[in-house]
Amino acid sequence: MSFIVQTKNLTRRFGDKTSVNRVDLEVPLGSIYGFLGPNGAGKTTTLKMLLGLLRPTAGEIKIFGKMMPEERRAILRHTGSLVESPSYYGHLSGYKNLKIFSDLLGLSSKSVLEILDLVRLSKHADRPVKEYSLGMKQRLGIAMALIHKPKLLILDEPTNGLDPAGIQEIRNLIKELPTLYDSTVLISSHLLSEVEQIATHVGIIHHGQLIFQDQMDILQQHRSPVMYVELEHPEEAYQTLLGKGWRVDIENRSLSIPVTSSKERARLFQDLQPFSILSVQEKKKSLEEIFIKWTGMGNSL
Amino acid sequence: MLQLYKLEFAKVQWSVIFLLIALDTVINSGLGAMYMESFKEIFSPSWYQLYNQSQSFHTLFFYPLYAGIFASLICYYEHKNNVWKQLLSLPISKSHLYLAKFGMLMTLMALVQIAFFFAYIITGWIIQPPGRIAWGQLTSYAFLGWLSIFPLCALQLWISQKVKGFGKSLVLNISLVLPNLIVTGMVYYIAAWFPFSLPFFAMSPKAGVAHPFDPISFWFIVAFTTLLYLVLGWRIFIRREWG
Ligand SMILES: Nc1ncnc2c1ncn2[C@@H]1O[C@H](COP(=O)(O)OP(=O)(O)OP(=O)(O)O)[C@@H](O)[C@H]1O
Ligand SMILES: [Mg+2]
Repeated sequence: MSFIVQTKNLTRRFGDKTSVNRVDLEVPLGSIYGFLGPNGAGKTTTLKMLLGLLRPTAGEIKIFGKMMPEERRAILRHTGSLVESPSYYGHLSGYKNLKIFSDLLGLSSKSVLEILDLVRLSKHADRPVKEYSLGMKQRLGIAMALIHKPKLLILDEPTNGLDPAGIQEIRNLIKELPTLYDSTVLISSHLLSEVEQIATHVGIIHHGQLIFQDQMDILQQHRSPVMYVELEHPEEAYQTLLGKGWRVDIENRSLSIPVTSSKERARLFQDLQPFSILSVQEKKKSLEEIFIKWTGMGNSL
Repeated sequence: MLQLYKLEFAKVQWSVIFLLIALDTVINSGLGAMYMESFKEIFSPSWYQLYNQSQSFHTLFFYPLYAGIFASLICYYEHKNNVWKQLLSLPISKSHLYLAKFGMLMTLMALVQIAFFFAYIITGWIIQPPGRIAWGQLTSYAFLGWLSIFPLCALQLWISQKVKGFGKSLVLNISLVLPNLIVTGMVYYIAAWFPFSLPFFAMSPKAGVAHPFDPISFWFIVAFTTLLYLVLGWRIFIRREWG
């Protein structure tokens, strides 16, 4: 198995605060790697170290098998990035901004037009970027990251400030990248739902420590279905189920009960028979809930 | 490196640069012509006198001040939306970036200098003072004046990569330039360590009048401080983190 990004013991302290703690990141070739964690978990700090913008306190970074920061320029030649808020020259047009970056990368003007088209900014190419909306700036940032068709794309919360349509669009774009440019994508987010549909691999960082890292499928297996049952007499049903040892929650007029097998499901219906069922819904536990369970956080991710 | 230098040209706001250059030339040529007129009883008007009267504000105030303003201007665009972060995520050399910025700063200072001397000649051509233009002398003032601003530019670039606010650095610059009248009154080998005072010694006919002046040790200090500030600023720049 070859890893495009591999860190060993990666650690970063700010004063006496350890923001990234002995992280062994492994991003496989051709994957879309969702790097997840709540606010302040250390995502941005980790990504900045990968780009050589911050120095690790300890540990090592290998990208394309090369060492960062020793081989910084060789690595960056094939890396595109958008970290935190997009950077831009506000007084220059979107086109000029991209032209500057394409010149520095030794690309042709054609690549600027292509990328403008890809992120759908062609119409606004000649307006100064300071007049752009947040979403347009974000697109420009993504264009800067993609302009040289990088082998590795590092995106830090790239859907910040985008509307639902924009989010969907960027998601589709990211999904295509491995086939379009042969890229590996490392994308951070504090929302599992955001990468759930696109990521092939997941790493979860919490308080600077990597608490989970595996294929998305493995994470999916941690999800068990929950039955949502609406009843005429929810209170009575609730008491009865509790009495029979079910893990049950009540909300408004409906009960929620996790079930692990179809046998259990049948037994549940039997126990609920006397309470006239109005409706039944089966939902899989969202990744958010797993995430909350693991990280021991409340709703305030 | 050349690409980075070109980039500086592409992104700088030339309107601001030209406005500042115009201010320097118009004010100083105007003052020069005016002073020459008011002091004509004491100093008889001539091309030389016109230069003498025009250069004092330029050398003591405008030229060193502009070094600071332009230095913060060429870092301002990167500070503004943290473009540093994006630039340094590109496969470019940090040293080249720093040197390109220094090159840009020196280019702008050369433009200021050229504009100033050009304006002087135009003013003279309008007034038609007696005597001849001392071309050789003039060229050497222009060139040496530009050389003498190197240490200050190196120092200002060092400061500008750190100081984010344009207003803050403007206040700093003005307060550093103001004591120039006093500093330039000192012996050159003390004054030369204050980089703001150097253009006066390099460009003013008044330099070396009050105190003896040794060009060799003067230019030695200029070269030494240029290297010192440039290397220190560069070291800090390449070691910096861009969080
Ligand atoms: N320059 C800095 N100086 C001091 N502490 C810092 C610095 N940068 C980050 N930190 C701290 O490191 C921790 C991790 O921050 P980081 O920005 O990496 O989190 P994050 O996972 O990106 O969070 P978010 O989802 O909010 O972007 C935080 O506690 C933060 O306060
Ligand atoms: Mg972050």
